[in-house]
Amino acid sequence: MAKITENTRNEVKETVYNFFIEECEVDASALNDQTNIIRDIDGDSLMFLELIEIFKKKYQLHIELKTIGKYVVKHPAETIGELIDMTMLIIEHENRIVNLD
Amino acid sequence: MKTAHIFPAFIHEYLGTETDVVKSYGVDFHGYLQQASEVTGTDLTAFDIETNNFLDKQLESQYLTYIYGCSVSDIMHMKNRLPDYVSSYSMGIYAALYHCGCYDFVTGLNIIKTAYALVEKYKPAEPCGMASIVGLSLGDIVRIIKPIKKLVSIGNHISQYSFLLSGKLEHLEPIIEAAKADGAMQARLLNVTHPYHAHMLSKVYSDFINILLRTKEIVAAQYPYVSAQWHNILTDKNKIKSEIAFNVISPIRWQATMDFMIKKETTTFIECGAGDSLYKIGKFIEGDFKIINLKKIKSYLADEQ
Repeated sequence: MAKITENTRNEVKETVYNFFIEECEVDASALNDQTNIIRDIDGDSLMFLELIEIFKKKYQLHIELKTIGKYVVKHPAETIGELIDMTMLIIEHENRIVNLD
Repeated sequence: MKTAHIFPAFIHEYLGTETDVVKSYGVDFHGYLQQASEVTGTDLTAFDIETNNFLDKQLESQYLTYIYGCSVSDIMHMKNRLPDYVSSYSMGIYAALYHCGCYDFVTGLNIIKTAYALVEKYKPAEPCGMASIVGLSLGDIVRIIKPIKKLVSIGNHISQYSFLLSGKLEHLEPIIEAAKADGAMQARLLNVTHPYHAHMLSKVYSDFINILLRTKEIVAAQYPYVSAQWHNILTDKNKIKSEIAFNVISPIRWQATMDFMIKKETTTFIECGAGDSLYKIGKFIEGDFKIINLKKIKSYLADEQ
């Protein structure tokens, strides 16, 4: 399990923002925590999958994609802010995220 | 360091700039549309990339995929950027083999038309299609389809967590629900009514190969073509013909195809067609390589001057 520090959220936020800036070819000024990933910047579920893989490697997470998927189906992240919150939960709880409600 | 030219299949989502890019290299794209319309008897000249107005028309979409692929092929030849390997994803095979010099533009169109007619002839009477499932492993997929494994095929093992299934809708729909319940991040039907890469189309093969064997316009490949079904290199004209026929009915494994080329020291892949689907899929394939799609082709060609 990854150790959550005060800086973890900043790291996650920076990674997520940089990811969408590059993938969706948008200017940093066009993004904020309320940006809708699909509607506003033309994102897709594959991007989410890619981000999960990035964080899996970065924080050496022991997670199964389908376990995360079960949580995502119940708690879809539509905005960048929601995605950052969800990522923090994944880092903190790993596969036990499905037990959260 | 080797380069492979890879050809995508149906384009569900265009970048929007494809036509402008190929025209900027002198490709007569509208001329191709006109010629294809005359040869196939299907008017393709009304195609509008902005609205993707042929999205629901499978045969027209295949022709357009082919035309964009041939256009990029022309650019590569024009710029003398020749590949060490060529491969193709699903119905991208037709443009890939045009690129390999196996036939001319018109012959390729006729092959597409023939394949489509045979699939129409032999597909089951019940509604069929293909489903995309993302986020589950191969083991999960096999477990989910096990109760009806003879009725549904894994048409494409795209990457570690991405699959296309082929079959009748009555069998695919419950699988989609089961996949979602199992944690798939995406499970949905594709906008196609043909169950490609599935044994249920096996009757297509014998008719198709007989037609292809009689087609004298198909010749040996000038570049090593990597089969997405068997992961070997083909150049012989009869093996190429067999590959075209099998491609309709046989499962493909894109990840294994990419792995094959990566192991052969391919570090640069050029996505020779519209959209960026192969670029996106490539992100989930391990290896030290880059995929350049049409969006970045200008800087690639400029850098290589």
